[in-house]
Amino acid sequence: MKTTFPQKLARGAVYALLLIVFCGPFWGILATAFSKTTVQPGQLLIWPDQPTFDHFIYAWTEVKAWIYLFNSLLVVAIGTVLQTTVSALAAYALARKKFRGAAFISLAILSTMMLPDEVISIPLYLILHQKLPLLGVSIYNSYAALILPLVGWAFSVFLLTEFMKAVPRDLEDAARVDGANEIQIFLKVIVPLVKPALGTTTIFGFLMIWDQYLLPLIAVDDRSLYTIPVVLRSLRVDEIMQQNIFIAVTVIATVPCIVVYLLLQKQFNRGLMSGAVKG
Amino acid sequence: MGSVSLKNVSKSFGAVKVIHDVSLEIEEGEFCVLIGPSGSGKSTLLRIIAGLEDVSAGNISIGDRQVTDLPPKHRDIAMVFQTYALYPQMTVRENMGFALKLAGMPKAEINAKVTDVARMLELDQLLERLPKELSGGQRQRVSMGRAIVRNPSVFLFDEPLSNLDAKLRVQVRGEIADLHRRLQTTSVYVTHDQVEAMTLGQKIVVLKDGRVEQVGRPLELYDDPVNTFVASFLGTPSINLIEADVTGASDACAARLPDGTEVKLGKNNGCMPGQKIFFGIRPEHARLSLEDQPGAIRARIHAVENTGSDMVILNEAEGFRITAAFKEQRALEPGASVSILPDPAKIRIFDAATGKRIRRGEDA
Ligand SMILES: Nc1ncnc2c1ncn2[C@@H]1O[C@H](COP(=O)(O)OP(=O)(O)OP(=O)(O)O)[C@@H](O)[C@H]1O
Ligand SMILES: [Mg+2]
Repeated sequence: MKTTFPQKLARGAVYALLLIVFCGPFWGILATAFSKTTVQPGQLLIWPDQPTFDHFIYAWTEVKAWIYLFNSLLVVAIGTVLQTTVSALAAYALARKKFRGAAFISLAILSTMMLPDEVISIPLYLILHQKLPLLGVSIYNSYAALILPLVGWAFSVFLLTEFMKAVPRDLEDAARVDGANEIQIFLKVIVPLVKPALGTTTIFGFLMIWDQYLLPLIAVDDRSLYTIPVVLRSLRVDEIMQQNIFIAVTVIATVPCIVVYLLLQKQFNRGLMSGAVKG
Repeated sequence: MGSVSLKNVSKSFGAVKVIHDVSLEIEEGEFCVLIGPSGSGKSTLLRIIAGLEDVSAGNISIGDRQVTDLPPKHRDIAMVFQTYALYPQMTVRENMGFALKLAGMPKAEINAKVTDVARMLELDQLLERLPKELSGGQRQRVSMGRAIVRNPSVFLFDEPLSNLDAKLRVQVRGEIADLHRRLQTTSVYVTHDQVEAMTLGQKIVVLKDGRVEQVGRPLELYDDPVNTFVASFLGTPSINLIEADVTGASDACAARLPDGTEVKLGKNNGCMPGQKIFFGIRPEHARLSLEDQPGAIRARIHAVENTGSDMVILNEAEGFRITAAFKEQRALEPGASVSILPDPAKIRIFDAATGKRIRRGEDA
């Protein structure tokens, strides 16, 4: 099909608009974080002014952003691995194994998706304070409190269940005849076939854990256990803190997301696509 | 040791019983075909032998080992699936070597075995490909290769040819027969195609509704079926079964067909005068002629099916239809009057009520 000049122009305009809408704020944040000129809360610079690294240096040394970055990275790394593992195993059981109460468990998991975080925050707070049997301590105010509540996630369980249901049973039977045990069937037959879906749930899981705000608020008390979102919030309401520094921390908080996305981009797109085709 | 023996095997899924008290002996090295209509329990029985389904009752042994409670991997069997069930993410080489790898065989040895079998099946050019890069026939071959590499005591096949086109099916059928001649491995082969059963099987087991109807060599079942089900299941075009009454004295009965024709059944045929029977004659045993013959069935040609090698003539007599088939080419047109003479030695009669074969010298 031939495109005329006005059509090209119109298309270009739409692209430009989208670019401004999606990348504009991001550009503003970068420009502000690297400028000496200070801004008021709610303001962003459009053009960098007197470029400098000062805000980053301050954020790193004085605000000690690295502590929170480390906390966030640790929580998200362990959390994502555990969450994906648990989801995949749960999904395999739901997709393939017949057991008493399977329908009920499925429903119970599903129902957790219907409750907003705010509703469960008080029960969760109480549970985190419960002393564990045998050990006699609670996990409140520890990394475990930041991670464990996120390990079971209905969304990824259900997404993976649907993908695993689509794996032909004959493959499992063939593997069984070939001498594979249950673990080997899971790891060598099922998992490789749902890899795109695993890529998707990993990225969504990563973002979900990275963005946690309410949970760290109720799970820890110690400032040294804060994660980036919690610190951002406290910096935002900090009267003396310069706005540019707050924004520099924001930039630091964004970097891991971008890196993970770029690393898993192919898997991510494929997972979304295959999900779309399957309907 | 590769004989397979089932003793009083039953299987229920929940409240539904799908295999009823099946006993079966398959000799070492034998090629045994399980045949029956859809839903008759062929796959279930095969999966029971494989250990993919447990039994509700009964015993299974392979060789001299009881395997009833053993998982598939300890039964020393290999299986070829209807869908081939190749692992999509593994190459042909990895697919074929998977079982050996799980068994902990050294890499070099696996490679040697896989290469050997691949050469035998003419897959050596395809070893590095993924299943999705193969044609249906090649996939089928890989799935057989995967079974052969393991050198099991029993091969199990579940309709391995049903996803191939007609021509390829005949070719691969021949290859499976060759393979069995060469390897002499006990095989259990499920199909619902009677040509496959007749050409491949040394022993055929006819199943219906989870029960064994008859077991025997192919021609035994063909010539000597125990009931109307087995008689009509084997052979294309299928056997003519015509409702008839038995007349005459008990030592010289005849069958009176619906059009009044009386066909002598010979002496001591086991039937009683007045009994209702099915008069069975295979199309190839019904001689057809254009001239009037004494004692023949008078009919009119309804349709002519000519495959080039066979002529099948569908005829309408008064009150029933009768098919005749022969090899030679003859000029026959629908509408022509013909007389049909069943070969007396090939007539088989069955009790109309039970469908059971009525044999010579037996009480009805
Ligand atoms: N997992 C199962 N749960 C419940 N019923 C089953 C199951 N598998 C098979 N059946 C039932 O058992 C009976 C025999 O099935 P089977 O698959 O063995 O038939 P088949 O002879 O292989 O048929 P086909 O020629 O169509 O493959 C059928 O009535 C089927 O519905
Ligand atoms: Mg079947």
